Amino acid sequence: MKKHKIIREIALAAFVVSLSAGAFASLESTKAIVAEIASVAADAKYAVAVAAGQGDVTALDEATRRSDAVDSAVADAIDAMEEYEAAYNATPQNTDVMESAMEKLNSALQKAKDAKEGVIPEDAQASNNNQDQDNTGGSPKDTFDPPNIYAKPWDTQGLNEFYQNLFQDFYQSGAPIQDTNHPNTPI
Amino acid sequence: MNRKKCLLLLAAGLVSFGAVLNVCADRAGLIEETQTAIGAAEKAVEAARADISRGKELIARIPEDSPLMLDVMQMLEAASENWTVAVESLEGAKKSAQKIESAPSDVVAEDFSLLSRVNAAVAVSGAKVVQIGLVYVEAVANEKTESLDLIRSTMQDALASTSQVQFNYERIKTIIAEKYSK
Repeated sequence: MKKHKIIREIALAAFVVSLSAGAFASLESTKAIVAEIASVAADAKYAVAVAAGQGDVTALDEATRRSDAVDSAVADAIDAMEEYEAAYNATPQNTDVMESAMEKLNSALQKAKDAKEGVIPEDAQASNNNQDQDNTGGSPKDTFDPPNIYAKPWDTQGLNEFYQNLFQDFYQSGAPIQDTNHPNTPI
Repeated sequence: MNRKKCLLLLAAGLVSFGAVLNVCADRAGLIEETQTAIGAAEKAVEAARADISRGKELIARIPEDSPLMLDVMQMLEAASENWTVAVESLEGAKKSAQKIESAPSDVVAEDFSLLSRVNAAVAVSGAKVVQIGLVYVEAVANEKTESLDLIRSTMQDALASTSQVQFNYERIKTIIAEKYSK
C-alpha cells in the first residue's frame, strides 16, 4: 500500500514540474504575438499587390478576402493585448483576465495564419448575411429577442407588390396638379 | 525503513531527472520554434533579393521622362529603407538564436528566443514591403497603370503593418532590458 502511495506522489510531483515548465505567458510574449500577426498581414498585402499587378480579378478578390480576414485578426490581437496589459498592470494582477487574453491572442494568431492560407471561419463570412435571422419582435416591457433589422418585410412577391402599390397610390395623391399625366388634372 | 528511504530517494531522483528532461525538451522546442521563424525570414529576404536584382532591368525599361518616375523613386526609397531593416533584423534574429542553447536559465533562453522570433518577423515584413515596391515598378514598366492605385494603397497598408511589427519589437526590447536592469 505504501509503495502505491509513493508512486502516486512521484506521479503528482512530475505532473507539477511539467505544468510549471509549460505554463509560460508574459507581457512581452503578447507583443511578440501581435508582431507576428502584423507580419502575416504584411505578407497578405503582398499577395494583394501581386494579384493587382497581374490584373487577375479572381486572384485579387481572393487575396483581398484573405487580407481582410488577417486584418480582422490583427484588430482582435491588439484588443486582447490591451486587455492583457490592463490586467497585468492592475493591483493585484487579474490572472483570469490575463489567461483569457492570452487565449484570445493565440486564437487570433491561428486565425491570421489560417486566413493567409485561405481558411476563413464561416462565422466571419456569415456575419455579412444576417437576413436568415428570425424577427421575433420585443418591447420595453417584454424580454423578447430584439427585432432583426436586416430582415426585409417585402421579401415575398405578394408583400412586395402590396408595398409597391401603396407607394404608387401615395405618389399619385401628392402629385402636383400641373402634372398632365395625373388622373386628377383638370381638363 | 531502509526500503522506504530507498523508495523516497528513487522518487526524488525520478522527479529531478524528469525536471531535467523537461527543461532539455523545452530548450530543444524553443530552438526548433526559433529556427522555423528564421527559416521563414530567410526565405522572404531571399525572395526580396531576387526581386531587387530583377528590378534593375525593370527600371531601365521606364522612360526617364515618365510622369510616374517620381512615384517609382518614392517606392524605391521606401523599399530601400525596409531592405536595410530586413537584412539587419535577419542578422539580429540569427545572433539571438545562437544564444538560446547556452543561456544560463530558461527565462533567459525564452527571452533570446522571443527576440529572435520578433526580429525574424521584422525581417519578413520588411522584405514584403520591398517586394510590393518592386511589384509597383514592374506594373509601371509594363504600363499596367490601372493597378497602380491599388498597389500604392496596398503599400501604405503594408508599411502600417511593418510599423506595427517594429513598434512591438521595440517594446519587447525595452521590457526585456528593464527586466535585467532591476
